[in-house]
Amino acid sequence: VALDDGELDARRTRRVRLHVDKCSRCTCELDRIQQQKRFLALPRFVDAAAMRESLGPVMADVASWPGTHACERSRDVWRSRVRTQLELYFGSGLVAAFVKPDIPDDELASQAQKLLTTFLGRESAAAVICDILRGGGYAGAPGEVL
Amino acid sequence: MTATGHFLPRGLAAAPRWIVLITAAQLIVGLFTLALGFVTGDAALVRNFFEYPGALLLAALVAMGVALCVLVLQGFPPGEPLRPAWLLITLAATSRIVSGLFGQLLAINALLSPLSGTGEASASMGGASRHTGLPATGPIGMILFGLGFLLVLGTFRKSGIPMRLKRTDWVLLISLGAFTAYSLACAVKCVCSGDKITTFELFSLANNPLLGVLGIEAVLLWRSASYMGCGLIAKCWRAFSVAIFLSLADGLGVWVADRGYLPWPASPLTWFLWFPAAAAYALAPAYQVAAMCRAATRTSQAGRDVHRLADRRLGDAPAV
Repeated sequence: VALDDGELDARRTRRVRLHVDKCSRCTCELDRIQQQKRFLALPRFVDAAAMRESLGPVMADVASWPGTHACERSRDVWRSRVRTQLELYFGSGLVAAFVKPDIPDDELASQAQKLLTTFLGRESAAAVICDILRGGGYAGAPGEVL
Repeated sequence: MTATGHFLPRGLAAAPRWIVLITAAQLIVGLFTLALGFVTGDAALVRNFFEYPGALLLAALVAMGVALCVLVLQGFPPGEPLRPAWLLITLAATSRIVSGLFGQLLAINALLSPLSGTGEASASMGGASRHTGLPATGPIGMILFGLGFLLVLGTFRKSGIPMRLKRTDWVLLISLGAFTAYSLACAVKCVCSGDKITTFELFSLANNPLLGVLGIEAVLLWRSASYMGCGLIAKCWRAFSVAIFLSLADGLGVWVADRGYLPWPASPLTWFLWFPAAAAYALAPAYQVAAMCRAATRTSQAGRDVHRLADRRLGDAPAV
């Protein structure tokens, strides 16, 4: 992905290119990545059902990319830290009611931010959010969505 | 470090613990004194305890409560949802200082008072100051507290925090409603009777209905805070509820004692409610300040512990 995005420096690009030219498996992989990227760059007016159907295999592929597992773990750590912080400031009752296992990440982030900002003040809430983001390996700035 | 960290010393995170410890120590000493007074038959022992160390602790707790409220208020700049509520609560707490000064320190005919030793003049001035102090802490303070709590309850509702009332809550609410209506009717009847009443009496008449309304708010506040759990913010609002319940209990004790149902040595027992009530009023902002301190010291050991706890739940060591 980094090769195709042109994110590697000249020396590494040359080395990876040399390898890809020789390795049929990596050539196939690169073709597939390019194909998926072209697909993702399609205009938004694509039929939603067709999009979902086509996205299935793409998402399955994305899941198999190296580092995805780490991302997933990082997300779990992040959710757990949000829970723990809410427990510390509000209590387990509120966490049980607000942080359901199936709650989407963005909704959880938005609710946690709203509660913390309302009852702790904007600055203190920003400090807590910053703490969660830093500790969870996220490079977000305080004030952004968790 | 955020601005929050600038105005909150880290040591304030332990303020709730200190308030509880000091009040508990004072209560133990007080009860020991009461027992001693009962055994020796010397009521002056108990009176002295309330006039000197008791009065000092109450004044200190009230002053601490105001200082902590001011710190909390600084954490909620203009435009924040809880800013008006904390402003009203701070003003209400400040009005209690007037009581602490006039009602406890100046009004008593004791060595601590600058008015002491002047004979009858001190008694009359003490009485005057008591009359000046009480209205300020009574209806005015209660109105401010009531409005503040009303805004907090509104914020709970907006934030989706419900108040699931139980049967006992309904019984309490109905009882408090009846008490409010009864005392209001009594006050109106007294005002309309045509008798000349002083400003102090007028303020005193407003006390009971307002205390009833505050009690209703305290039940709702307690239920919402209990729904949250045992976090620092939940403890803050629970402490306010406890403070109001204790004030109500104290009021009831005074009413019962005034009618002679509580003879010595049982009558001073109700006075001991003053300490936990004052402590609860100070504890509430102390918990909020503790929460803000925790947030500000995010790189502290406590913060790392919280993260470790979160990570342990996932069964892996963190890389904080």
